[in-house]
Amino acid sequence: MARGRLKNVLSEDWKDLKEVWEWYIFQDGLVGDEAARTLDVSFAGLTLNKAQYFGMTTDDLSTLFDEHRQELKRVPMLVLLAATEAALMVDYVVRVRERKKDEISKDFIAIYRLRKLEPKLSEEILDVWRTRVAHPAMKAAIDRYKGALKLRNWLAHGRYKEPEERPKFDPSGIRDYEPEDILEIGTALLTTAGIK
Amino acid sequence: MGANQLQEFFREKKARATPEDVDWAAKRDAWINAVGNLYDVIEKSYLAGTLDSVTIDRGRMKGVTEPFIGDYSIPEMALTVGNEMVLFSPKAAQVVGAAGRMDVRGDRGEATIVRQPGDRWALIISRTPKLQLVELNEETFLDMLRSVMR
Repeated sequence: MARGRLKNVLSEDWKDLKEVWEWYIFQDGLVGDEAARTLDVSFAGLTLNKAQYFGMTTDDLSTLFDEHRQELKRVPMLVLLAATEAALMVDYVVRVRERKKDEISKDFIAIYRLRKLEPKLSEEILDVWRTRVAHPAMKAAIDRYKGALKLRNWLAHGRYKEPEERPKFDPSGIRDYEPEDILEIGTALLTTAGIK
Repeated sequence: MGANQLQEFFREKKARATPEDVDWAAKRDAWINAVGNLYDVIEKSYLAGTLDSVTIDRGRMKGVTEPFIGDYSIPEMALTVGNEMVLFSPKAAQVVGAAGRMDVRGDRGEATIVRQPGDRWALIISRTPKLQLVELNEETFLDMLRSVMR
């Protein structure tokens, strides 16, 4: 693919971290509202017309909503990691397309000659950032993002097996990540790289 | 938020959380009676012709804690057939959409029956996509045992 054709490759569908986060807060709020309303009605001994709650005790309802909120957390974590990747890839495409002259862009253009639109994120794109922005903050941001990619892989492959490793640069296990952690990791990486 | 606003917030919460005019002791006693009546129907009607092949134990007591009602004890019922047991275990008087719930556990699985107005009992066939209940009678009782026993 010639660089001139890169004009049309970017999609209008990708969302940035802020948009993903706002979506998650909205969804979490809906589940929270439903939990509060349902538990209020249940405690008051009033009739609930929703069949999926039929026969449940208030403890059952609390457990059900806790489980739903825990499960809901997995979605933004996956999407935030993907959105961070998307922001890095958009930056890559723009630098190549506009033939920028800085060292990072020159490295990306060299990668583009070999990989076109399928560069390796961890080994190529992030390594350029690590090498060219030789700053401890960039190294730390990349290390934490790479650690969180283990979570992305685990989620994206359907959690069918136990995660093998703990993320190297975060103290806890993969299951212990919270959406706030992933937002912070993605934001730190993109901010340090100067990507909006 | 000042102390007065906090006090008002808690007062509203407390008022909303305490249903008025409910005789919780009577509600508890009605539930315990209804469970006993169900055990009588199972023993004296559904199982009447089979008492030589099934052992019935109504002596187990289960401790239950429910909001407003508090702690109470209620009997479970165990049916033993050969080397297999089915346990009828009351869950709670206060459940969504019904006047009480009983869980029925066997080696193969679990079923749920609910108490309905007029002390009728119904078996939950499914909750989603649509709630399906069938009245508990001799025929559906047998279907239920078949579904929970080996």
